[in-house]
Amino acid sequence: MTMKANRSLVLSCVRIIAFCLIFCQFFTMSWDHWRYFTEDVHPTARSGLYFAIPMASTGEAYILDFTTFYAAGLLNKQRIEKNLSIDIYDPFLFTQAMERVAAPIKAQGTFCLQYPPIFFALATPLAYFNAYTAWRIWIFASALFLTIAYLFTAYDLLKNRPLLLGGLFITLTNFPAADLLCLGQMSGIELAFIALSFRLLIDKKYFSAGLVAAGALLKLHQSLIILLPGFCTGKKDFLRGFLLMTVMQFLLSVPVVGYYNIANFVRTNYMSEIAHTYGDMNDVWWYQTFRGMLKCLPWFISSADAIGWATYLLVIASAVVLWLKVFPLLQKKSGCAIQLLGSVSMIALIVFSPHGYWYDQILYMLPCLWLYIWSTTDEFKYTLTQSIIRLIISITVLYVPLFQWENVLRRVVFDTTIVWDQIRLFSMGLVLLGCAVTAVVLEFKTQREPIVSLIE
Amino acid sequence: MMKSKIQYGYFILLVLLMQGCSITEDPRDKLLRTAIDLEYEKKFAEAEKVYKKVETVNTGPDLMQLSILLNEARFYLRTKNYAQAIAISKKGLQICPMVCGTTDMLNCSFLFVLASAYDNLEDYDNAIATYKQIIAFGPYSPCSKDLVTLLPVIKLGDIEFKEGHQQNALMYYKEAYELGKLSDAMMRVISYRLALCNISLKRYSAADSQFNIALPHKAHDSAPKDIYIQYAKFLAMYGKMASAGRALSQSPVWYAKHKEYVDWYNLRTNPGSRCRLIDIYTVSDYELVEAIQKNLIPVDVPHLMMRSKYAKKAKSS
Repeated sequence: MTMKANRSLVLSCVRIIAFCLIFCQFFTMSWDHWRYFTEDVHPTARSGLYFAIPMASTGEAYILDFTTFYAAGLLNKQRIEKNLSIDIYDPFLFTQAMERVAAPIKAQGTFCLQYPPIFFALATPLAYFNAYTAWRIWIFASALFLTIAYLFTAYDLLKNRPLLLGGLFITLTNFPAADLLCLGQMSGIELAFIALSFRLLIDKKYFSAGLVAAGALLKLHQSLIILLPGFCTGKKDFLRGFLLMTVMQFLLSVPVVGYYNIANFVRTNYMSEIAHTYGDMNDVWWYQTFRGMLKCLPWFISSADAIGWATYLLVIASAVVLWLKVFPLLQKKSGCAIQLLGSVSMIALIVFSPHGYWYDQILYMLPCLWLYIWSTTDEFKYTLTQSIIRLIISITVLYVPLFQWENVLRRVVFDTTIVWDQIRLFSMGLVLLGCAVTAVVLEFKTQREPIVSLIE
Repeated sequence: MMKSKIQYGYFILLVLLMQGCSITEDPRDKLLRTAIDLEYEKKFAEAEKVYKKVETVNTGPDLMQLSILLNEARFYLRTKNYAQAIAISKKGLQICPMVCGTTDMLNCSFLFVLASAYDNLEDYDNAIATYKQIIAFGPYSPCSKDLVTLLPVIKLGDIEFKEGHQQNALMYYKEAYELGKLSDAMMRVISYRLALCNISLKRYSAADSQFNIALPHKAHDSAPKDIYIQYAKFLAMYGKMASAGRALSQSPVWYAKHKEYVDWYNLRTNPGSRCRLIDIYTVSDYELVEAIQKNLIPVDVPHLMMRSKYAKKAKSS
């Protein structure tokens, strides 16, 4: 056995031991989540109290995220069945639809729907079931989307390394995926579009990547994660695919919501009086992002928004530079250029996003998986120091999510200031970002021949 | 030169289009939002004026009109103008079947406002009949029958309690307890009522344990306005000082923590925030803290005296 083979074996052993330890820890948390689901969430959902959680005998209720989607579907169903020409983006009609679900309990506040018209193609069929059945269908669909996202990311390696499927189990049964599934949020679907589009970018199928990336417009603020690398690497082909799918979405939306509601979407979300109150409706201190963290700190209460937005714009500009300037260079040296630069830009765009809740951190799944796969393959091409750094990265990307997400559900509740949680989440995001940057630097410093010259 | 003029033209066209879109907004939306904002700011007189103005802009029986009527009816309920609340909700109940059908759940929301108004006017017969009408809507709910039944059952219990029929009240509260036991907030709401019922029926031990569930445990927990006063009265009557000491043993730390949280929280949320709306309608624990600090609550309330004694004792030890 050669020296390098020996080293590889040792590193693999260390990694497997670390993996087992971390897996065991995750497994106990999976068990906790499962018990929480079966003992609390499911019975409450069956009784209906999970969708509108009554808070007082006067009738105020906390409305679950899924209930808002279901109510949107109900409103559109009513429009279709009764042939009404109503504005389904009107916040008062939307809130009224929510009250139909929760009646006689009333929703807290007035709600706005910010999703594009194509969203109704997903939400309207749900309205033909009762809330409990619709919620179960939605959970199943979301879990399916998460599985698709995972499989598309680990696609190449699953044949040789079936143990990676353990990661899928961990992902689905732990925070934030478990919470995302219970709440019925959309980030799982968003992640599937992003993952699939990245897979197509890696395979250099730019047109198809653009087609799929347009699906990510469902959550506008997160769509940049795929659109930036897509436009920078796929250029015209990606743009063509993207435009085609956008037009197709538009055409599909016309029969689903009515042509007038497409204009209503633009107006309500961007131009009308309602749009101006968006800032007041959401509590920024509750976001698990850099902007949210700033708002929690005593020194930035008034300037958090300005700093948060400025930093976000700076991150976008840096990501563009990274994809336009660094990517062509890295591509010549590494076969994982998209994955590594994708990790850097994706983590940065999640951490510094102007809007994001804890369940949005499911998006970290992609860079964590990319970095883990990168740090555990091609062992022979790195020096000893580089291999040790890669080992540290592989353990960090496995362990950081655990450290980051553990107890967040229990801590982020309405009786503590969430300052420390915000700092913890932010610093862990930075640790992941550090891993991604280190991986890029390491890849530049490898002794391997450039891929182009190897091909030649 | 020509090119830049064309570009300017496009820009002006875009601005006009955007403005055009903005003009097409239903004028009732803007007015209703203004009314709700004023209501949250507790400017009730101004809010009422805007609500009346919205009515004049109304174009006909449609979903938007129902939304306006429901908000207006709740506004009058909140401002204790029960006669108006009844009139508006009856109007809503006339229009709702025309627009949405007789089994639409929006009828239920109007009925709840109507029943609450009757209840507050002490017109219990009408209130009972209306609450029972709401329960009949159970099978039509897209969510669940339990959710429809929960509040009316609590309210029916309240009416029985107010009329001195404690056994009947207890029966309703127990039914509500079974329905609402999965929600922490409702557990507290129902436990408080069960505690009062048990005091009336001289079941002090049961009342004590029900009070322990009903008292707010977290800073954001809402609680009935008079819960501490009732608890203090009960403790004085029951003479169970040891239990009182145990129940309130963490209070100094608890209150300090809550005060810190409330100060932190209020700085970061606006009055229209969804997280704060619950506090507009119910008095929560931290409002009690503020009341204590501003000496709005008399110091001769026994449980507060015990609390300060305990605080001194804890400090000295």
